[in-house]
Amino acid sequence: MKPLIEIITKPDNIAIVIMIIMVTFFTIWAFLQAFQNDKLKTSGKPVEGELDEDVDTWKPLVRIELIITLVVMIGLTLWSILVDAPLEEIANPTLTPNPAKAPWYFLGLQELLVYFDPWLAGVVLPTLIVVGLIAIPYIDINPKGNGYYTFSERKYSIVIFSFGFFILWLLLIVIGVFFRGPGWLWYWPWQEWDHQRVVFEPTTDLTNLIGIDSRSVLGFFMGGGVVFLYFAIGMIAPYLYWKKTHPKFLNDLGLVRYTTIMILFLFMMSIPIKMILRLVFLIKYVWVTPWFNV
Amino acid sequence: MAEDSTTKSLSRSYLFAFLGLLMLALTLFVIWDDEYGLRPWKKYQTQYKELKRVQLENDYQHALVEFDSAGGSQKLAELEIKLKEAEEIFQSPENQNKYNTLKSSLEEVQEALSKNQNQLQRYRGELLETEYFYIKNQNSEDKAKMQELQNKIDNVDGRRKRLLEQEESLKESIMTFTSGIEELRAQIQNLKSPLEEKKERLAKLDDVPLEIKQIHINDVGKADRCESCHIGINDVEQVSDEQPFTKHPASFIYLKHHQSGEYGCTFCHRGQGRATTSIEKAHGNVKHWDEPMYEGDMTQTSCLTCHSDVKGLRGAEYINNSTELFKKYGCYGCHKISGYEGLREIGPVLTEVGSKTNYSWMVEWLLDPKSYFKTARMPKFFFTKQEAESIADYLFSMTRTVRQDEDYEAVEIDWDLADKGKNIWSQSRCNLCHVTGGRGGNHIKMYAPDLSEVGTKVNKEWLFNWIKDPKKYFPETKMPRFRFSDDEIHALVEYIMSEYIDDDYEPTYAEPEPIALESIENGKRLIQKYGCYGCHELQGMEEMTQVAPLLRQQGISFLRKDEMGEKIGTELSSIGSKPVDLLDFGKLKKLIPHDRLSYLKQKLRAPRSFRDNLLMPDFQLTEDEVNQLSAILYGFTDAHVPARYVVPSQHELYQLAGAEEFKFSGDFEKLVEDVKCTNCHPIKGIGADYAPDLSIAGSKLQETWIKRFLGSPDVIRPLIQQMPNLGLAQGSITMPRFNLGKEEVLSETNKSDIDIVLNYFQQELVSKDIPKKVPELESVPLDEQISLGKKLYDDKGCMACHQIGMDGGAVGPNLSDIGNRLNEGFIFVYLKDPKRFKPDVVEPNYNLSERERIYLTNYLMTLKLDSN
Repeated sequence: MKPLIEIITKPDNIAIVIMIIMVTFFTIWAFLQAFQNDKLKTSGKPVEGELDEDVDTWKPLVRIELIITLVVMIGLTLWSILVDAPLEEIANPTLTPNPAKAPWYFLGLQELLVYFDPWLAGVVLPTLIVVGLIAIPYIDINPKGNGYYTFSERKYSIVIFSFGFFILWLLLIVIGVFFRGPGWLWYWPWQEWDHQRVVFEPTTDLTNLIGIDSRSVLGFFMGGGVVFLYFAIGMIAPYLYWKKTHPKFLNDLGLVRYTTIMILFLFMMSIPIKMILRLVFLIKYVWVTPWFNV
Repeated sequence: MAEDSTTKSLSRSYLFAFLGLLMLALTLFVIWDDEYGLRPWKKYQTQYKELKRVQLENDYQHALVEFDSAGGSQKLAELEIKLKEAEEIFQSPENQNKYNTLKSSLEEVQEALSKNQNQLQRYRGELLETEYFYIKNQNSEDKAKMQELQNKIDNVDGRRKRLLEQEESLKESIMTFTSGIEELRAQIQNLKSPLEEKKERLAKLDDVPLEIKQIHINDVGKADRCESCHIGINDVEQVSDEQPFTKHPASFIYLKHHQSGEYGCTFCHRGQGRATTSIEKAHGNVKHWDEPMYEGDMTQTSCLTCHSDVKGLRGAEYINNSTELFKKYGCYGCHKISGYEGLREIGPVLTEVGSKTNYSWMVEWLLDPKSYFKTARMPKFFFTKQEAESIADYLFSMTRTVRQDEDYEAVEIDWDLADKGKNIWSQSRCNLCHVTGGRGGNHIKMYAPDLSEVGTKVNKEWLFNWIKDPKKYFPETKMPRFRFSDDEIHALVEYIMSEYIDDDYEPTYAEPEPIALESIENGKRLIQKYGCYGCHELQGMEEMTQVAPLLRQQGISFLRKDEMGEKIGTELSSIGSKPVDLLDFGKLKKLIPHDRLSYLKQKLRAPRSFRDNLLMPDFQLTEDEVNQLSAILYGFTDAHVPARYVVPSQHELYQLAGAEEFKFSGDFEKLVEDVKCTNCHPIKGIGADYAPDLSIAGSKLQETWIKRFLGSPDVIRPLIQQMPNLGLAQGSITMPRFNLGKEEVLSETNKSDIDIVLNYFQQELVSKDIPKKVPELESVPLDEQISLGKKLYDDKGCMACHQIGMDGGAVGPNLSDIGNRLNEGFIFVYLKDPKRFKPDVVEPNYNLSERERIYLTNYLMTLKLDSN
């Protein structure tokens, strides 16, 4: 347990400890409220917060936002007055620290580097995250859940968001902070870090499994084909399915919104898929091109 | 209405207002904190200003009182009255009229002069032009014109001279009106100016801004802000003895030669020179700052950064002692350190150790050297009994030809002989170097073994051979050859073996018979593992015949040279700048502070405490020694030092100049090798420094005296310069009797030892600046000179330190026989400036005139004891 305590008590990691506590608290609180509200709804009772009339933005909403801003600013100012930024030893140009960890909030992205090319993990995926977050108000056509918590009325949105936020963002950060040691190898919190540890884990590319060199022309087209198929099927299959089951929903959504949602979703899902391929099947790349590897 | 109340209840005005105020308060605090809280130097600078003001004010008041008491103000008043009178006279209309007339005529003359000057210039220019044409065309017209112009010039010049005379006389007349006034004004100014200056400094104090003082030295990458708090560090007179307001301690040594603007502070003191927010941070006593500020004597470790040689360097005494200590323990035997290559191995040779000592002693010694005598240099290796026996087995089977099982009981002592030996022992001053029973010896630089129980260690035969010629057994020994006769050696051996022996000693370990081969092999491995060859010469055993002749056939071989080449310790050349995270704290990671100094000290105190398998032995150092050694280790850095800071050693200077270093030559070289003169005497930079410097002995000492002294040395300086705390009677601290001149001649040249020394002194160890004789004074008869000299001797209080006969102090040398000892030329030059020969000599410089020095020298030369 010693390494874990060491990590937790490091001044760098105060923030992540606070984050874990706060996220846990607010998640539980939000879901409890949501389930309560759902129960009320099914029994036909009104839900608090689901107002009949609109409330002004100024002052009720903006005031709350300003108050929270103040609270956060006061908190951060006090914190920065009381605790100096933690310094480590003076940089030694001849000595690379191992493990070299990014600031805690970037550790999720650093964890992605295990599975993706830096170009994908460091540029494309973060960009898509930002674009996706900006796009949410424009692609969300479900009017329910304004002013109150609910789960049953926004099942898909909540599940997908939770998956993306908790698993793909926070969990990866937690892994990066607590479970990665020298050589970016996996260490359980009770394991002592061993700088001499060697792990032999041969990885191959997908097409090499069936005997085709991933760097050959054939391998290039086969790998590309797999990626293309993933996106093609991912785009078309849900469309056909929903056309049968929810034609009205699809109609309301429109083709542009549908395409945007599906592209973002497919990119998001490619992350766990690639992780499973890498961890379980020891596959390094699906598609090898001279410019980038997927 | 209902809607209003909802809106109101949602507006949360009070909370918002409260938080807003809180934020405001916090912002104000941040501003204050940034301006004062995080800038403690502002407080110090303000306090310093107040202290300075008090100092300056006192200074001013003091000067004022002094001024008054010297009648200054009265004088000033008088002068002022005089000035007023003079001015009144000058201002009277009659004088004013005269003055103005004179002035206007002066102006006229000056105007005429300037016109005259113009004319002169024009004519000269014209003349030059005409001259040019004339030289070119040889035209007679031009020639005539030239003549005409020349006449004009002469004319004008004549007028100018007259005008100048006029001007001069007019000026003089005007001066008679004003000169009195001017002079009075100057006098007043002179009287007042020291006071005014002090007053001005006081007034200017308010203009000094509160600011960060930074010294930036580009090429060493230093930006030191230390003076922001230590604002008075360059003061001549400090304002307070409290930190941080003091001036630099011993600044006449340190700052005088290292101006802060040129060297900064952290170059020598370390610490975090850029930090200004708190004392801890600035002094570098924070986590992860590898260079905390040095404290006290430790700072001298920085001298090593630039000074290749700190021997005799003023202000570097501590680090110099550390260096000596470092050499004494021979750390370079196991550790590679640049600058310490190729030094003498400090341990005795072991190639014949089997013939010297006995088995039981050796095993006990290996187990714990300090149990035999406390001052042993050999460290404790924590051998098990078996290991120690194995090493002894190896050494004994490899280093002798005959078995010698010493039987201590059986030795019978010839007491008469021993008594004779005792005399020789004390005449030879053996106790100067060797300790016996807690008395004598062991100067930091001159290590010689404690002989209190030497009788249990060595055997008679070896001891005889050793005293007869130490170099034969140990070529690099520091032990001199005393030129004893065989009879004398016998007596001395008898005395040593009877007096310095532990009568109750019982050998604990017996040499096995035969010695087990396995144990020998094991001993060999251990010697290699612990690197005994770092300090002991172990080579050359190949040629020896062993006790067990079958050893070689049975596959046991000697350690060969290539098996003993590596130094087994870590390289220490840059230990002082090794990153702290590269130091292996091992088991003690959480137990001792995580900084370099703590690491080094712990390593020196308990070398094997970090891990179980470490090899470094325990030197059982005292806390003082630990501090000193860690200071020198700290000084081994790979710091980049710009060339302008580097002070090369004497040796390096010779190299730079491409010159040969001074070396002894000829017979004298052999003699020095034999008698080890440089163990005590420095000669032209070679040798230790606790006996008088002999570099100019030839100019300094009289021939007859040298001869007599070498034959039978006696005390010259009773108190100073001798080894302190020896526990020996004062009289016995003198040069040992080496029996020079007693023996057969050293070489073909047929000279005795004393002749060799004398020759060398007179030919090589002389100074050109020292005359043979004092200059003669014909005007004063010698008798009178001598009595004048005696008067000077009494007047200057020489007898406070020097002794003549039975009177006088004992700080300086006894002068009773100086007339027989020193050359008069030397005394004459020495009196001029005693520090010239020895910078740290106590003798003050009395600034005697040449005449006085002649008198004094002539007097001193009369001080002679009868030489019989």
